[in-house]
Amino acid sequence: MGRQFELKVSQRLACRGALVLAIALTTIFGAAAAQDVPDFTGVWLATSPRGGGGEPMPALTARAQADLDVFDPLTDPVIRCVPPGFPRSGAIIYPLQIVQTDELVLFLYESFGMIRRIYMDGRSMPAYWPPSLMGFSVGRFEGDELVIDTVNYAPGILVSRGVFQYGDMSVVERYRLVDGGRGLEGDVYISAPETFEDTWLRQYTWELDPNGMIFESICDPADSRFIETQ
Amino acid sequence: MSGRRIFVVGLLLACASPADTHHSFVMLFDPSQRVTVTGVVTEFQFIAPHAYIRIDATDANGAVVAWELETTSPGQLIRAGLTPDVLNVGDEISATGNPTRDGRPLMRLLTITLPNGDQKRIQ
Repeated sequence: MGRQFELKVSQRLACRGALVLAIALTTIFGAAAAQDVPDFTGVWLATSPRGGGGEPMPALTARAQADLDVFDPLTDPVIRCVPPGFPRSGAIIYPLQIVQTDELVLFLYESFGMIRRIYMDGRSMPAYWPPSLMGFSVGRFEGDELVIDTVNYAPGILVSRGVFQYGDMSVVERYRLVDGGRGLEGDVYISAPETFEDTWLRQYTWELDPNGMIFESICDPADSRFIETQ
Repeated sequence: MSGRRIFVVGLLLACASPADTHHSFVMLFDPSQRVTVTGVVTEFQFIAPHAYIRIDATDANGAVVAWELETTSPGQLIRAGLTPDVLNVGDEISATGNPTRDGRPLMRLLTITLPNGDQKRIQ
């Protein structure tokens, strides 16, 4: 009887020890694993060149060229303050806040208050998901890069002067920290076979604003101003 | 009216990138030119997507000319230090920017000098 009691006590102590060890190992290695993932959290100010020039673009398909030729800027939904969506440029050239968790990365754009949700938990797009300005995004880490795949875009204007995408677009983004975490680089690969003859690579850079804040930037259609030009 | 095109300035600028600007923003303003105008602020609309300032300037013939200064988003203006608490109607300011290609009194504002001498770089 006494020996059985001693054995039970020993087993309990052993189990408790194993449990404590397991928790300790999980904590140690879990933390190490989390540290292996780069942290993109912060407010990022765009530093890519703006204005003038002209960014190289793949050759347009006959359909896209025909639509461009007759494009009337007054038909652009942006004029009615409809957000331009991503990867149209408005999202990229203004400040961006990134909020990162293990399951979800949020891109909070100052421009038009746009939000992107990038699912990091391995989920797939639901059987039905409405096409949208931002599409449906899933992400993963490849080495030091955050890689985002986006599909299911609603048709719309991709470039303000009248280059359309027709709902067949898919986008792959690759983001990485540079300059000791003070800089951010992003490569945006746009595949839109109905629009371009080839994939369009757009490259952008940002710098971290350590105390930065994002301001509300909601557009009121009543503020549109029409200016005639010769 | 024939032969004219209409631009929605603020919104086109809001969505401008180097690729976009090639046929919209650059068509309206000449980025290779600079113009400097001094005048009195008559209006400062601190609105999204782009704020704008109106001033009355006096030209070489003594005539008052109403200029409009296109800026950027209110958020970017806050970062540049140009906010409604530092720029008021009645202030005399100096503005430098890209003029329009067709000569109308409208510019894409690059820098502004306030009455106290502070110069703000807008974009």
